[in-house]
Amino acid sequence: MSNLTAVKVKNLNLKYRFIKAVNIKKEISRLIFKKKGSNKIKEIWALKNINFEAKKGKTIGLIGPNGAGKTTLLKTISKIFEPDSGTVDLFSNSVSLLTLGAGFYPELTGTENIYLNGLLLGFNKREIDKKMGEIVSFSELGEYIHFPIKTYSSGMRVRLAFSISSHIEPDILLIDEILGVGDETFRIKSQNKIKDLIANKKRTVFIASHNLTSIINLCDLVLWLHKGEVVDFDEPDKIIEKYKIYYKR
Amino acid sequence: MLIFKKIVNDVKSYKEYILYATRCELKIQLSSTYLGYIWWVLDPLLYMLVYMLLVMLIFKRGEENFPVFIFCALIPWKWTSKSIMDSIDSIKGKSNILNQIYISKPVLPLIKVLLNTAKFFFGIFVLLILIMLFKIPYSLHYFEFIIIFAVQFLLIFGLSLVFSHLGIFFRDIKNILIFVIRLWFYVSPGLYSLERIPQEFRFLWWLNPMTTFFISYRNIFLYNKSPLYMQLLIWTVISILIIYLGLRHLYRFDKKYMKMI
Repeated sequence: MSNLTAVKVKNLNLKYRFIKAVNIKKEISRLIFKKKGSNKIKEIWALKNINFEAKKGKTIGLIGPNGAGKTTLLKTISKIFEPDSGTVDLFSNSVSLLTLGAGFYPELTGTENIYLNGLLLGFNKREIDKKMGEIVSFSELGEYIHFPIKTYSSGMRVRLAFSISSHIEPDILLIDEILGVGDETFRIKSQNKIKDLIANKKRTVFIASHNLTSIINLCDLVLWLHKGEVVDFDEPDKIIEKYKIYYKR
Repeated sequence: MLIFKKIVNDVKSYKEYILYATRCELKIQLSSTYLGYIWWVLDPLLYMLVYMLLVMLIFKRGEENFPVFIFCALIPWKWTSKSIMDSIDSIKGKSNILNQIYISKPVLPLIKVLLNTAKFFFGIFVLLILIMLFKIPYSLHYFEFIIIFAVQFLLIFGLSLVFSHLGIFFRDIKNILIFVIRLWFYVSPGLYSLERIPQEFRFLWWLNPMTTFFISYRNIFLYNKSPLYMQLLIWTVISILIIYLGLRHLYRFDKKYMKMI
């Protein structure tokens, strides 16, 4: 295994700014009556002074209670968010966040959604054509793939979403809470797929999860976040023990 | 200049996505009605009938070849107003996808503009059929269409960029815009010719880009004349400034939008 760095995060700070949408009514009344309104901008520091380095090929678990900043950190690494200060350096070409959101167009068919997602994830059409068969068969949707997504059950949607994002195979893979989706058989299948993705020695993987057992099983290192700050960064056994004591589980 | 380089690079790298997404959105719009494509013909034609009724029957006015006269204005007008209205939601409405994958933001209003451009071409096609029906002579000035089209495209793209940005911050903008756009059409020489405006007020009409576009389209399709090149040049410069302004905002907030929506 190489000792090259894949991700280097230095003094990372990130804040959410909730700008209350401008309300014309209030703006006008403020103009007329010269009232001083409440402060329009509310700030919350979601990540505070995060420092760590991930080596290539390692799997890193992110743990912490709700609101600790796990997803925010993943989104910052995947370049959806920009740090307010500090740097995130990626020493690799492709990075992708594997989530099961609603990034689908309900009126379009499964195939069309695969193209749209694939194109956004940096593939060209020919590459998607090549993977199409694999994605469709993995999703087990059969002929439903030619129907609009709005006719799908929620389980089918999840299966399609997982199939697309798990066939991207980026150098840096970010996984957010999806260990186990769909029905029992698909859950096992998807877990095996994730294990395959992680097993690749070139790939650096970040997993955010509340499932401590799978974190111990899958990860080389664990980053413990609490209210946007790093509590500890160490091997899984050591951290999980402390973590359990800390939250009295 | 850096900004323009950036948008060219973005369009290049997102080329396939832009084209595919435009096609898909067109398909969605078509599949949401029974008549599909036919609506693209019907919509401007019905508007034309309404205005004909209003102007010819009620006001007893109207220029020569009035249906074609209106149509020359309606088609570019629809293109402009629909693109602007669509672009308001272009970033906001994609928050689901943007929360998972990074997309360069100017790409999203661009898709909306292209979508409406496709419909615009369809409308021009219908216009040509109308011209044939009314037996208006063809002319070589048709080739100058491409120039008017290019300038108007720049202006629409610029405005769409600006409104996609504003759409995120001002929730009421859509309601205001519905009114403003209606007013904008009536102060553009769409239903009447510019000659009907008193000489001393006419300079006000030239502040409206639609005056230049409507008259230019009519010149080439109806009157066998060249478009208003001088005015088109001025609007090209203004459009590029608007595009610059829009892009500067979109790129500055590129990764900040998702923290706000």
